[in-house]
Amino acid sequence: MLNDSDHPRHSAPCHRRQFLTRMGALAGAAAILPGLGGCETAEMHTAPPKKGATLNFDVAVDPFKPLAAVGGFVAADIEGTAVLLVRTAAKEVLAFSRACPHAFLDMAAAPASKYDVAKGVWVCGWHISEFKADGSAVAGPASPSGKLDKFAVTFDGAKGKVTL
Amino acid sequence: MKRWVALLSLAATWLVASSAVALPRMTLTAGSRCSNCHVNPQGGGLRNDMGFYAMAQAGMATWEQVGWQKFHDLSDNQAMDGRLTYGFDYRGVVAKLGAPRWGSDGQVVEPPRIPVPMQLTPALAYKINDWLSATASVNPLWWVHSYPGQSPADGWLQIKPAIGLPSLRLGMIQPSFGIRHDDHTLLLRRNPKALGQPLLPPAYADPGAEVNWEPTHWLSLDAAAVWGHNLRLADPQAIAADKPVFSGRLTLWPQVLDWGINSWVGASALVADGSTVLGGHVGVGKNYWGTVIGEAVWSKTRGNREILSTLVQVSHAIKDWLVLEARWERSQSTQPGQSDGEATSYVAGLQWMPLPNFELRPEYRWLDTKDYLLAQYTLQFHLWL
Ligand code: FES
Repeated sequence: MLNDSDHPRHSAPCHRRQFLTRMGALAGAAAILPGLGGCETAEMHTAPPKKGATLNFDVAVDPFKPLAAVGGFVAADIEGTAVLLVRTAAKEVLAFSRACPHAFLDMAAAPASKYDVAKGVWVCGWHISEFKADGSAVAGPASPSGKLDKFAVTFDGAKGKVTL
Repeated sequence: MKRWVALLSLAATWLVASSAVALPRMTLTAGSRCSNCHVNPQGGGLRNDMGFYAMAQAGMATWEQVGWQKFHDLSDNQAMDGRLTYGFDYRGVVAKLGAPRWGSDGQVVEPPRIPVPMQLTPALAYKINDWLSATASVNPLWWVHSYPGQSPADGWLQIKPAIGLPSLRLGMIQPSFGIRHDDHTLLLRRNPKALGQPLLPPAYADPGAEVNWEPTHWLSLDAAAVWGHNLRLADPQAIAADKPVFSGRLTLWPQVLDWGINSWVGASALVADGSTVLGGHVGVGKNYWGTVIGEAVWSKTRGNREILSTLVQVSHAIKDWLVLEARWERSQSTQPGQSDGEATSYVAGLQWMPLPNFELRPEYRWLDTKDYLLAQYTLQFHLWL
């Protein structure tokens, strides 16, 4: 059934010069592809973050209750901007952009994401990158140059405010 | 010995048709099952002697012709009188991984283009006796780069009493569902609202058992029960706690031999912790020429989240070492109380084997979601034994 003699399985082997010529031709074709219309693009369909937009939160009220304990974290949206709130100390909540600088995935959606209280680092659960309080990556594939966008937070131990 | 090796090699050459790696379309351009060339009856990964001989032939040139024979000086992939089969797969990609976002200056920030080592998987299979074998593989790059639900290793004992009878695999296995694609980025297996989150991870395994049965040349049946730990890690919304997962797949393999036409059509189901995933797959191919593949996956998970994804993929073999491929996918999700998710993807590219056991895959990828559009060129490479 498969011995279709009209369609020989293997083409004739080529020799070194032919091989290099073909490699060159194919590599050349691959190299000019990006030039055909400049087809690489990135566009956002959402509105840009609103500078100065704020979010008030209370750790006793849903959906911010996970922030009642050190190590807890919550995903929030501030006028379309995806933000991550992390309780890092009795009187400290940090706010970061939810997009990890490694692969720009939503860190809150990764089941293994957590605040490592002992090490004092936020862990992106997608590929286990670790971030210090200033947002800079200290371990994992996002290090050494990756940095989380950080937003200003005021917090009194119970209530707080994030400002973009 | 030499003679049967040559005959086997020739037979495999005819059987495998034009491709570099374990791809679903290979069964359609060759009219053979995955298990003809792979140790795993699902296909992919470690190749058996047939798979080895076929792939050692397919390439734009041979390693000898370009003076690099010393890097490819293997007559087979077996030892201990054929009891032990060995191999490896090394795969990587250079791509912009992730999504664009708004920067603090109001400009769109693109994800950086990075090299991602995906897989470096040595694998072994040992034939204990005529009906019992053991297979294992490990991916050390899992510790460098992995996604939720991906397993660092798999391995199983396979009891295969005779051809035509059911075989049983016991161990860390992936339950069969739909088509086993080698591309890890398919929308088909992801949630369009959280694309980094796989619904059915492509390289995962959980402990359990699967029965694979090919009673005739036109029918195959698979049924599995696994303990869904890694599947829960992949999508905790679908499976809230480690629970049993049951899956089943039925595939018909009609052929029109005189026209060199091969096809398959089948359905799959997977249930776990109140979640249901259903799938349908269909493919038609002409020997040594090309294929058309379609697949749809529908899921309903806890919280009434529903996702429907569809894929259509076409390929054409220009040469045995050069294949054109294009794919369209669309995925939509709904969940009460939440905004709908939506993503469309187009991929066009080449599967190019400059040398046997070495593939380059330049691709153009267009991904349009509700939040962003990202179009980019990517390059995958694959070296294997
Ligand atoms: S996306 Fe965060 S570590 Fe990769």
